[in-house]
Amino acid sequence: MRVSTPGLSSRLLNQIATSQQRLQEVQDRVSTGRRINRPSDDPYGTSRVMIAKTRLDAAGQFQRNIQIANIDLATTESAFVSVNTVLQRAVELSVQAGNSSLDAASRNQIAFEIDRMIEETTAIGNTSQAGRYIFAGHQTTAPPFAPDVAGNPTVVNYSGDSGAIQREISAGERLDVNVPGDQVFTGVFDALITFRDNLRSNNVAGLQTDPQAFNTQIDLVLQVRGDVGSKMRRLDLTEARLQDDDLQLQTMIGELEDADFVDSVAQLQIRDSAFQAALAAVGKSLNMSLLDFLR
Amino acid sequence: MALSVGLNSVMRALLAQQQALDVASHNVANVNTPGYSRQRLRLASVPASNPSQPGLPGNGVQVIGTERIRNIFIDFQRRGQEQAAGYYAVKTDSLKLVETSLGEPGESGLRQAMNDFFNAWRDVANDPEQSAMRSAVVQAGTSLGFTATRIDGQLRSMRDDANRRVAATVTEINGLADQIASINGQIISLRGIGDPAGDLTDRRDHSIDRLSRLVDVQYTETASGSMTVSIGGRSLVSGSNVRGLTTATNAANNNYLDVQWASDGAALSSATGELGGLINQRDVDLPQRLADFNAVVTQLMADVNTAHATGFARDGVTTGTAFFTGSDASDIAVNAAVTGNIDLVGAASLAGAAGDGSNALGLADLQWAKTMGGATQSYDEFYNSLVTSLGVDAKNAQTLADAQALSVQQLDQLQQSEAGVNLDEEMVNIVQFQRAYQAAARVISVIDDMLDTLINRTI
Repeated sequence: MRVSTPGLSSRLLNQIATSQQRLQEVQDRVSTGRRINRPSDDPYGTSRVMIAKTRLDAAGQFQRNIQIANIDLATTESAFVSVNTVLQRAVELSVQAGNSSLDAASRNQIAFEIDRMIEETTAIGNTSQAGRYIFAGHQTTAPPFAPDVAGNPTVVNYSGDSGAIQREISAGERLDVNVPGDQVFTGVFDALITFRDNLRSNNVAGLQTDPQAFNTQIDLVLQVRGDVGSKMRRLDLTEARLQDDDLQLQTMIGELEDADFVDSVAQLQIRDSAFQAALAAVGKSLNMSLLDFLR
Repeated sequence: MALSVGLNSVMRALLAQQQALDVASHNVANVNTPGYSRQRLRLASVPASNPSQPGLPGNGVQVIGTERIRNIFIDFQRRGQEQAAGYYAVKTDSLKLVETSLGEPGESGLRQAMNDFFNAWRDVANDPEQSAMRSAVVQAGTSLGFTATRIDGQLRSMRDDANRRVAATVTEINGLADQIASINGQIISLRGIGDPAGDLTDRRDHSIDRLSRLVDVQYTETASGSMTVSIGGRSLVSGSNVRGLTTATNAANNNYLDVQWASDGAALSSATGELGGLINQRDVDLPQRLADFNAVVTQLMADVNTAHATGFARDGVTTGTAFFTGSDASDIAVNAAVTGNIDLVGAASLAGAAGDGSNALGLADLQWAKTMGGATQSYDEFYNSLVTSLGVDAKNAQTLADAQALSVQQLDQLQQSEAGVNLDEEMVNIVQFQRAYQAAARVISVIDDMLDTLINRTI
């Protein structure tokens, strides 16, 4: 084919431009470390990356939610451990107080201890975590339990409600993390107050039934603790699943989005050589002219 | 042969070689002129003056004319490819800008903003008693609004840019038409006196090349040498007359410009070329992408507002507050009442329930709700399909633009190898013509010697 002078230079220029462009592409890939920089680099890959990133973000949020739920449940659990301790002591005292050999003065002594136990249980019922009263249902901003008469209450009033506090632990899956205080504490307070009044009035017949009343409360607390425990196990399982998901999603995003570094660097080398060759060819071809040989 | 006749023939040879040298130097001078086709002097021998007398030599050389060396068929093919190249180049540029605006699959686009927004609601649900998370959700909503408004604004301004380029393209088409018409006039008069007008034809071809990249043109050359150029069957240039284009503001189309024939206001139809590409971007492609983008934003805004209005503020009493204000992506913003008083964030579903975050959880659940595409897609899914189809379209446009550019380039090179000047070749020609000139001059001095012998030495 005939070669024209401007045709030769434009072809050489095109060759340089093409080599340069191919070099630029792989340089971008190496410097950004990414295979997909814009949707047109891989449209379906982009879509999968976007889905995976959203799921990854959500999974991160759910893991934070689970941590918070764990703290909620752990605080609830430890409060119930304390309530249980109180109830165990109450059973001991009620068995002791029911002993017919005990006199009224001794029973009165026990009554003072029960008053302190009522105070202690009130404090447990008013447990707060991160500024939130956890046994108040939705009324988390105020202590839910208050004795009607300080030091010698006839009743401990509950000002909370039965509202459920929920955490989203995976997409669309919610878990109740609170136990409204009246479900557990009201019975405990009633049993304690009845026992104290029986002690003060030296009501021996009444005192005979008190251990049974406390045992009923112990069973109830155990039952609620079991519920809390099973929720905590569910959180552990969900968290493990989310962590697995995390790993898989990150791997998937990496495979789709990240450049294969070894391959990219090898390509960079190859294309750099091609570019140099194109430059060398231009240097040689453009310098050839008949003018160099004519006198 | 009479010596005087010999002198005459030699003089023609001198002139012919000189003219050939002129043509070669013209070629050398225009080696880098875009669109220039090399020229050749056509020479022919002059037969003997008296054919009845056998054995006489001819009367030397004569110049028949200059010829322009160019393959018209390649031009024709190239212009066809240029139209598509122009169309897809415009489309590629435009879609790449849309991709840049959306910023996917990165962390600065709508996907991330929506994600952050819904996660912020989950944080509110975790801690509805505190201000920190309410403040965070207002921030996330604000940044979602900014992101939507930025992208919407960029897509709109791309439409405006396309419109400005339509106006500029029409101006360029009219300018090229004027050039072609005026060259037509000159060519007709030059051809009339036998000049092939090679250089003017090159310039006209160059103008037609450019014109065919801009718009869907047809052209035919008439016997007189003028070129008739038409668009969609209507003539733009005929001889030295131009029937140009104009633009008119269309109130029904965003006050964008319609392209019309200046003479009667009839609409111009051009589906290809840069003009076709620009109009398609401005009136079809970008509006569709804008509409899809806005569909996500407006649906999200409406759903969030409906859900938020059922919630109760931190005071446990105030309800019915809209979270967002605005009509679409162009003006979406967090309700100024809420930004002014973050306690208005409606985290609770129930009145007077400070610890209730269930409305915030309900708002977060909207992230998975299938409220788009006829209740089959979530916001994310709808937006993903929007981004995917953008990616597919941009990739296709790029592939086609590259392919068209490559075939234009190849046809260019083919034409260059036919019509382009080769300096080495011209140098050889120059040497050749120079030698011929020297030889002819030598013949004169030989004839001169002969005449000298005849006149001065014969006594």
